[in-house]
Amino acid sequence: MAHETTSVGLRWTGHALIDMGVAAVVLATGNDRPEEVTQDQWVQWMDELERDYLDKLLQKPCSILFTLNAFDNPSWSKKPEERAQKIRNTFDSARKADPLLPEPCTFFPERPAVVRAARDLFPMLMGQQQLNFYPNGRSELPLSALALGCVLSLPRVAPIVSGRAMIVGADDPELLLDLCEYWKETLDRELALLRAGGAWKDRKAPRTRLLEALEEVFGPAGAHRFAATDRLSGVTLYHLSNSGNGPSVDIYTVRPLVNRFLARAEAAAHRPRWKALVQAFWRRPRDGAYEQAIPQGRKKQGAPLSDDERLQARNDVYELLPALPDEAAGFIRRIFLRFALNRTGQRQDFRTEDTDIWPLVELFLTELMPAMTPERIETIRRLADELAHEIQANNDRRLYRQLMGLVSGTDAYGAFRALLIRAIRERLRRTNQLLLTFDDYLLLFEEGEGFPRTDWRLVRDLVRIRVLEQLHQAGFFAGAPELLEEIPDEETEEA
Amino acid sequence: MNEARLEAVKVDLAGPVASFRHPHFLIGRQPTYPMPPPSTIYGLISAALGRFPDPEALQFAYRFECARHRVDDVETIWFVQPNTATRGEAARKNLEATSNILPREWLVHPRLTLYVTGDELEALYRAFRNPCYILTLGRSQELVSVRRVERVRLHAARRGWLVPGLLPVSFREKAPLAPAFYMPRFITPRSRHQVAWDWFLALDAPVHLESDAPEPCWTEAPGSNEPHLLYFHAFR
Repeated sequence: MAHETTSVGLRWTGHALIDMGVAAVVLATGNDRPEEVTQDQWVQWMDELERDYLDKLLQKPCSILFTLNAFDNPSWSKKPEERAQKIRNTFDSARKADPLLPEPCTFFPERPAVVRAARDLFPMLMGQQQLNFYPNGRSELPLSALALGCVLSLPRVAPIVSGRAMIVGADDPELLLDLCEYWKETLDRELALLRAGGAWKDRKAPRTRLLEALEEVFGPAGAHRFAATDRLSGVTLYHLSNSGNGPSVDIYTVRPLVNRFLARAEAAAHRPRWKALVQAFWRRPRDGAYEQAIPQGRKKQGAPLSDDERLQARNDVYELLPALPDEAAGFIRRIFLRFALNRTGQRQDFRTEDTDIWPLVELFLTELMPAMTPERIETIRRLADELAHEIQANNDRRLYRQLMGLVSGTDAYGAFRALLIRAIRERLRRTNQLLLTFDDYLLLFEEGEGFPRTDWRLVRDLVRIRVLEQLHQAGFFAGAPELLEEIPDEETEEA
Repeated sequence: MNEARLEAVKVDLAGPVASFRHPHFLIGRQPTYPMPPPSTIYGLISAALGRFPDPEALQFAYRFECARHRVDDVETIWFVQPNTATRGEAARKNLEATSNILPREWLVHPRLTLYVTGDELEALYRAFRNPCYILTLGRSQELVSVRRVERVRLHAARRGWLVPGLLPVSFREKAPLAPAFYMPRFITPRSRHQVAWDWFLALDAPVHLESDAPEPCWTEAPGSNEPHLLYFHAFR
């Protein structure tokens, strides 16, 4: 038999649903680029997929991507031959080189179409013969053999999370290849277990699963076979279900700078701190809600997450990363500050490693917050160190309490300003030295005299993080056990 | 565009809501792009003119802003399909339509400042002053009002502030927070299945350029130390 080694004509199209299928084909055929996939490899891959479809191994993902009616219509339970014929016909179309329809493919316009697809063959379209939303009022979309084969490949590379498929688009196709390689290897292992009588694993929390995968890609394990670590590329997650019961789609975007921050946090200089931070914020599912996976305190001693629990657990760090940079202030308060408070025993929500995270905070500010110039970051660090020194050297618990918001009425800007002025006066009185210059004060807190910057609370939270770490290192809290009290949440602060 | 100056028509538009559907998400929920794709801008210009202008004779830039948070609205849609009945009274109709509800994502308080340049500036100026058809952003019910139309002269500039709007992917290093979207650049009006797609960066916050822009940009205020920069896109 002659082997067909010419390229099948695969390429990136820019469309997420097709390109994720392209990635699946590239990886399944052992290639590095779509253009390398040969005619033979294409046919072999379609044959392998067809067997999986016939053996009902992909029933669960197919019911979500193509509706139950597509390949597993309940009415076929007594007529398995009809089901097999439908699958054979569909894959025959995907293998076909000869065009059936006199029109170009929507996604590969250089190719003729072989079928017109409704939602049973292409996720999120209307049903058969429905006219709405289609160009020129003609129902369904024309698909070439390549486009059809790519869509049929999705179940092998798109994990099902919370009952929906994880479809990912990336402007850098090499990052898409890396993500898909991670997921394909994972799903291949599950498929092997499925053949031996197992079941698909249950996954929840789509944002956590996406960021977990990105971290694998950027991590030192070397999952990034294709993409350059420092290349700027964004990722868009289309978390969708085409199921007949509840079709829907939610879109989450991880911006390029967030990806680069993640890659840099995974680099050797920051990795131990980043791991410690992420580790602290896992939550395990329990009774329809989530509870802290690594609790602190006498009553609750949580066991580590099992592998299956991990697939359903969510991580607050990962959940918040797609909201950056809009929610950067919230991230600093809810993640970095909370970590510092728990590490020093000021809160008792979860256990943490005894690790300074300030260098990671600086990386976060530098990468994701353009308003945080190196000069501002350095001034924040210097102010926090001076305040920590004041508290430690003078055992000034009042200053500590006011700075941490443990005293009522200290949340307003006026009160915060007053406590800083008091600290400056105290320092002047004792040592004749300034804690903070006027210019430094303006740089950090005010647009003009008396008019606070919109991000003054963010700066205050950064100061708190650094002060907590400095006092902890100096052993201040060991001598002040009465300070180990709950600090209230500040989610409802006024601007 | 190689000239140091560029004549353009500037149009300020505003509306209560807008929605630019991802073209291939039809059922379940219809999310919106964060800003209008070029094909929508071509439609807007065509509505003002009352005809389809030569896409190769036009270029556009825009500044687009809206409320940070989007909302979902549940709306009624009609599923229309050919009637298949062959007997009796039912066979006399061509189409059948059944209603359903569908969540649609909205952008709130959209404000679009559109700059159009090309061969027929006076016609464009008059068209936006007195549009031939109702102007909308997104669906046919998403009306916008024209706040101001003027002829402006733009000047070449390489540094300043990139304003929120669409940029080509060559600006990736300069706008690293902007997510990329694959959008319709041009839809052939009389054969709407012919769509030219492209990647665009959707810049949703101003970015200060510390070094030269990778491609020519234009500004209304050449004398300013921090001019606002616009990038002009072609439709084809």
